[in-house]
Amino acid sequence: MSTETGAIPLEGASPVAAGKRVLALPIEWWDGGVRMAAVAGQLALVTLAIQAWQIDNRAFRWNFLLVCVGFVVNHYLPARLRLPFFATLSVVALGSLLGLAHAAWLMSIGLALIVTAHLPIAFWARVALLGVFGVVLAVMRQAGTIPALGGLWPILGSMFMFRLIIYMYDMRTGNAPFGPWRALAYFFMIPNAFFPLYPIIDYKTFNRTYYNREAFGIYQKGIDWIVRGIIQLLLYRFIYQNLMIDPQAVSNLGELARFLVTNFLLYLRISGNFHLIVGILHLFGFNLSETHHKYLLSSSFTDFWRRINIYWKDFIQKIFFFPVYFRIKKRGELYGIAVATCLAFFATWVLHSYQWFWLRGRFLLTWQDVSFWAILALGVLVNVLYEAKTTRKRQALKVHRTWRGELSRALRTIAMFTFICLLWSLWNAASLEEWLTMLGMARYASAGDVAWIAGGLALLGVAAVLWGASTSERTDAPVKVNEAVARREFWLSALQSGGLALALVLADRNIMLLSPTPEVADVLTRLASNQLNEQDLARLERGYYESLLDEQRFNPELGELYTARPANWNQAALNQTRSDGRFPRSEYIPSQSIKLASGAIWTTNRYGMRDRHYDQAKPPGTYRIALVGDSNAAGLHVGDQELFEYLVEKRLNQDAAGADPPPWQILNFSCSSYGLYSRLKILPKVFEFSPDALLCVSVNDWHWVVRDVGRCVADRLEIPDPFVRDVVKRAGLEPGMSTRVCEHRLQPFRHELTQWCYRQMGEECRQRGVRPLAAFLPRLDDRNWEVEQLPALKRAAQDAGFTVLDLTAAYEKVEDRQELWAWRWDAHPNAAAHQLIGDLLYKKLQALNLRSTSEPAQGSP
Amino acid sequence: MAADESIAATVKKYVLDEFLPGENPDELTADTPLITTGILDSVGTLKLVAFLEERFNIGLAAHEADVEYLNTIGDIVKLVESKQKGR
Repeated sequence: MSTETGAIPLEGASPVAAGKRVLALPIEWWDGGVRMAAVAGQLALVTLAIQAWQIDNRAFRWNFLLVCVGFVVNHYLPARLRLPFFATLSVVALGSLLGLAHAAWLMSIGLALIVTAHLPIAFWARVALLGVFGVVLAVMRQAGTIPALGGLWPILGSMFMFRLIIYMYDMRTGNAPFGPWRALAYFFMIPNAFFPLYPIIDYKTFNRTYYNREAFGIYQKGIDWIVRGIIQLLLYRFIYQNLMIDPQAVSNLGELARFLVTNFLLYLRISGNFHLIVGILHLFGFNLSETHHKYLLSSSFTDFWRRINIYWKDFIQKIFFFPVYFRIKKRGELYGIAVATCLAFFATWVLHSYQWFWLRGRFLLTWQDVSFWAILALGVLVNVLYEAKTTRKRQALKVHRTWRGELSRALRTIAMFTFICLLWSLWNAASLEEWLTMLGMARYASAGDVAWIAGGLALLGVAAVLWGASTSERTDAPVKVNEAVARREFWLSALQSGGLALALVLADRNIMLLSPTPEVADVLTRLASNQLNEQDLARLERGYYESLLDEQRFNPELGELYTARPANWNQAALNQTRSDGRFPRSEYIPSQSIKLASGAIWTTNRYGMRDRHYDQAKPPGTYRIALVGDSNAAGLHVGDQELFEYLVEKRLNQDAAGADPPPWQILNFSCSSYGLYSRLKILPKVFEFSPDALLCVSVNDWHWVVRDVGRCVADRLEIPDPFVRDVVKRAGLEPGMSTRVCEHRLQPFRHELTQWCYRQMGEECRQRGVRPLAAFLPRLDDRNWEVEQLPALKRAAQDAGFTVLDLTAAYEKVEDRQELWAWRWDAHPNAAAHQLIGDLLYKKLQALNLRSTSEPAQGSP
Repeated sequence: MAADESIAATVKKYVLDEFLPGENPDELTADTPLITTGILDSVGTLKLVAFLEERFNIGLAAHEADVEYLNTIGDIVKLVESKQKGR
């Protein structure tokens, strides 16, 4: 017998708790009311914690309030109205999140897919129709046919790309109930609107687990998992912000171990989100199983496969592994298992790429991906065949511990964890060469490194002994529940989760009772924000002219930002440069005029300067400054009249209003990606314009000088200077090595190169009677730079005879520097930032009194 | 009833021999969850299916290798009986 919602009645469960409207004894009402209050109280604390710690995206945080209200209403509704209410609430959430027009588009396409699945024609005809429908949608996604759907494809894809397959499978086998409300609830379920990367929830399980156990127990488990999800997300953030290092920065065994472990632990973000999603569904009665189960404690390949992303494993098993095995099992059990396993992993690889297409807009076809799945498949295959051939106790009825067994588990867990960390790093590697170079750093090992790695692995072994034996909790089968036991478990769990949620709220830095030290306060502040870490900021900087999507395919932080970018956001950097195969690698194409995504006009003059037209011959009485710099000085994302160079020149000339010709000219020779070495090498062209002063504008010299030389080697360009050739030799670089490896190996030489570039530029200026000026801009993405690097850079410039103009105070009145970013994903200065730089540079130049001083002066004005 | 017991006993013996060697037979009852507690994993499930098909001369479909049909010895008995009746 089943209830009207498909739920299975429980033995011993109270009618109230099971969600039935009955006349009950007052004590049962009292008990229900108290437990409901306990759940609602925890939910309130969880809501506060989510807001305080800025968990996930803004859409999620707002809609979580809707979830809370919906939870209370849902609970007090009659059982027959709950599923329709959940479906309606999900649609309302879609509307509130996307806006009515976008939600209508999404709903229309979704409903058309569902209706197609139920057309009164042959099953395979419906499948074929859905296939055609899918192809048409994929083409539309690529072509951008429906602009209104631009940002909705990931959500639409996430709702239907896998669930439709499961839905049709269950329809084919007649293995689950179907109906309009069930379909709406399944495809549009509420958390999906704000979590595009979503666990693959099985349709049959979705229905079978609906209120299949005592209601308050389900709600409480939901709270438990939401709290667990929040903690995992905070752990992820802590690791991301404080412990992650760039693979290029790995220089010894200790750093290698740190990178390998933290790189794998970034997966906490996915497991944390999945816990939130499934926890929310529990609040509406869907008693789904765990999505992950102690995957860090896996003791074999099959164990890992069964613990990490369990829903994916179940999906592959249901749709591919079992059907393939049943089709070929007559040819032998081992043969069937081997073939089914191989096909299951092949399907996993293809479907990951397919998922990537719907979420990110292109298929993921890389050697790293193929290698990862092939190696994992091989490991699982060997494991599975071994298990199939031997009689093995998977799980005992009672725990029997032996020293030998526990030691074996600990060692297997350590070995598996180490192997998975390595495999994970290969999956994320930019290139095989970089990966091998990084692993090669293991040869630089100190006793301290070995000690802490051994200690960490020993702790992992202990954890494996203590907690590794458990299996994932599955809830998709009816169990007899003793009501008294269930009640006790409810209260224990409520105390634990409520206590954790309360601790999270109290730990918020804004209401913390204790005064933390500045270091702790800084960690807490970063924990409560979604800002990028230093490595990703650096990648953003590199990403202006490189396709970083490949490199960052598993980086959710950057991935989300990149997905939001309009097509023409960076055309000034991408389309307006050319290269003649010599160094510097690129220059602006002369006489270009484009309209930026902001609407401003961006031009180059006939000499390829990012500037208005000037005659090559300097007018008499004019003081000419040649400006050399990188994309910041070239005003990558600002219009001609917003660029600080234009603003300063205009103000200087306004001071001498009426003079003809105007007494000041600033010629902007800057170009995207020009580091110090590039700037040095364009000086011959600069000097053709007879400048009186050279203004070298820098923002991150160490990074860019290394990049200049590294790319030179990587692109096999001729290096004309013996000094630089010597550095390249000492760094062990060979022509054609990857840029990242070259940059990595050049890091120890960055200051040496910087000093040499400044010296060379100073010398060139002195020979021509040009006054060298070095201006240092503030960075918008990293304030530490001003403390850690700026003093050394200023010294290098001063020692080479430059007059230093420190402009790092330009943004000091702006509290949140991100307001000055050109784009949310791009830390170049916007028009407001250029204005601030212009104001300060103008003052500094005025203070120098350049026109009246003929001799170069050293030091800062 | 006798047929029930025969099927249950046969399945129980198989599960004990194959997946729970050394365990106390009294601990394994008709209601003991096999899949949801991890006693049967995917490979174990396939081995059980192969055994049931051969021992009871029945054919199972892929979607029946599922917690709904194979989670307890009681479930397995029901499945085998329904297949035998359907022959």
